[in-house]
Formats: sequence, C-alpha cells, structure tokens
Amino acid sequence: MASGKPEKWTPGMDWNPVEKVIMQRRSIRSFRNEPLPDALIQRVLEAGRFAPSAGNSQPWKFIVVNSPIIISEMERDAVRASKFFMRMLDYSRTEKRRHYLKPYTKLMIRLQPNDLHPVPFGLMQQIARDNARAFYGAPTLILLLEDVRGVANPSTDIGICGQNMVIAAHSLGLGTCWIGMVKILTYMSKWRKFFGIKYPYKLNNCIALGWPKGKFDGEVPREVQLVTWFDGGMHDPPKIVRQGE
Amino acid sequence: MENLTISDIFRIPDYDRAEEMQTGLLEFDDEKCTRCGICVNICPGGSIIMEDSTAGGRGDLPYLESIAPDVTLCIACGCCLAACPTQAITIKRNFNPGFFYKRLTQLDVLTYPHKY
Repeated sequence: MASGKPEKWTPGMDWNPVEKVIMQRRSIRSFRNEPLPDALIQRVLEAGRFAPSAGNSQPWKFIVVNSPIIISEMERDAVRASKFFMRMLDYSRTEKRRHYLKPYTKLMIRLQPNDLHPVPFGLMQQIARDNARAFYGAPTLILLLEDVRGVANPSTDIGICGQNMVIAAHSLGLGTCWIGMVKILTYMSKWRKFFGIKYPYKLNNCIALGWPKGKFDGEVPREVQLVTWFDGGMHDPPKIVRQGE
Repeated sequence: MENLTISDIFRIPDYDRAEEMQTGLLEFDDEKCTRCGICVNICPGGSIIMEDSTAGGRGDLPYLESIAPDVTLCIACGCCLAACPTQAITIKRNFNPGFFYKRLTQLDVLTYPHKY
C-alpha cells in the first residue's frame, strides 16, 4: 500500500507481488473449455468498479457475455466482417488489385489510421483467411462501454478500469486478452441492437476472460524506451535516458 | 530520438514490402523445441506454422510465415516466448512499421524487465 514508508524499496530488489503480475501478464489466447463461476467474474468486475476515474465519474458500463452460443455467433460475424473489409481493402491478393486498389486503400488508411494500422490490418487478413480468431474461444467476454458524457477523457478511464480488471484476473490465475477487434461488430446494426449500444454509450473495448490452457504468463523482452527527463532549470536542455537497460 | 518528418507523415507504407515495414523475426532452437505446438496456438496473428509431419522423428521445426519476401505478420509481442515451455524461441528483430507509423521513442534493442 502507498504508506509512504521509504523502506518498501531497495535498489535492485525482487518484484513485489503486484509488480510480478504486471511484468508477467501476457495476453492469453488459448483457453480451457470450461465456464467460469459467476462469483469469480464478479470478483474481477469489482476491480473495475473501484478503478479511478476523472471526477469519480465512472463513465463505464459493463456487459458480461457468458454464453458460448452468443460468443460463437460473434466470432462468425467477426469473420464475415473481416472478409468483407478485406475484399474491399486488401491489395496484396493480386497484381491487378495492387495496381487499382492500393491508392484507395491508402486513402482509407489515412481516414482510419488506427483501425487500419498494419497490425489490425494483418489480423483482419488472417481472420478472413481463417488463420486467426477474433475471440480466441474464451468462455467469457466483458464488453467495456464508454459513457461519452464522462469527465474530461472518458476513454482513458475505460483503459484504467479495464487494466484494473486484467491485473486482478491474472493475480487470480485467470487469463485475459484485450480484444479491440470487437469494434468490427459495431459496424453491424444487429450487434448494436443486441447489446443496446446507443447514445450516450459507445463500445470502447472488450476483455476476453477464461482459464488459460497452460502456463502462458511470463516475462518477455521489450524495446528500450527513450525517456525525456527535465531535471534542471528552465533553460537547461532535457536529458534523454534509456529506460530498460 | 527519431523524428516524424513531413515526408513520413504523407507516406503510408506498403504493408507487404520489407523496405517499408520492419516486421518481427523469430528464431526457433532446433535442440530445445519439442514440437508441442503451443506457440502456434498462442500467436495472436496465427503467423507461426508447424507442418504436421507424420514421417516419424521429431517433426519439423515451427517457423514464421512470410507474407512477402522478408515480411512476416510477427509484431514481436513475445507471447510465444513466454508460453514456450522450453524457452526455444528468441526474437531476432522487433516490429517497426515505416514512414507514417514509424516508432519514435523506442529503440530496436529489446531488454527484459529491469529491476531498478
């Protein structure tokens, strides 16, 4: 706890239990085919309910999808939607497409630079080819809806709230994966109606939840990050520190 | 620290050209790998392939699928590394798309969490 006692940290000490969960948390994409007890899901949701938010506005709405029938229908439609978008945008399929389609695709990427970033673009290609899945066969999904009337920056609050639940879930031995691809379903009025996604709510993200099929959490290497430190006077240039080396 | 130049801002890379996209690269250790296939299941993009070899022996080593010369769908997230029970996988190259999407404050050097 934030008790303010300096003896809680000595340089180079081992991770404490919270840090350990943070460092070893991996996105889990392989789940046991076993439903979670409702109380355990509620335990995870509780970590979300107590997340910090701007002005304590709590600009979230949680939807728990705990039905294999509905989740497999969502999976089917994610594949259908990916196939549709890739039919319109994937210029790598033939030389003809490369010639005629690429300028249009690049315009669309410019209009939707986040949704059509190379990573989700590649994932949609793979989902469309049945080489990857959208929801990874998770037994439970938590949809995170954002109240757009929230204070200041409600989408940040959703991120904080969701990560609270993710960290809590992993500390309980569960596996989770953020599924931003869920957004593809909101292009279909069927799913907007089904989940009641309408003003003032918009679907922000989704967390897949379940028992991992094996021990998949663990530390991985990440890029060294250049951090700008301002620690002199107003006229001193900042120093650039290599974080992680 | 890298800068996003004006020409970077106006240029969307070709997603399947190695000159414009640096995609992840993995190395599988032939000795350590037990061909269990966990990495194939765990990869977010379904980009690791292991051929079903029934010809006896140890089977074929998993490999990263290439979608074009020197272009993979690997984003060097490390999920396969963490899941691999025998630590047979290492990241040889990180992911860094070009031009409009290029990374500015991350180096290509990968390090494990550092206990400060």
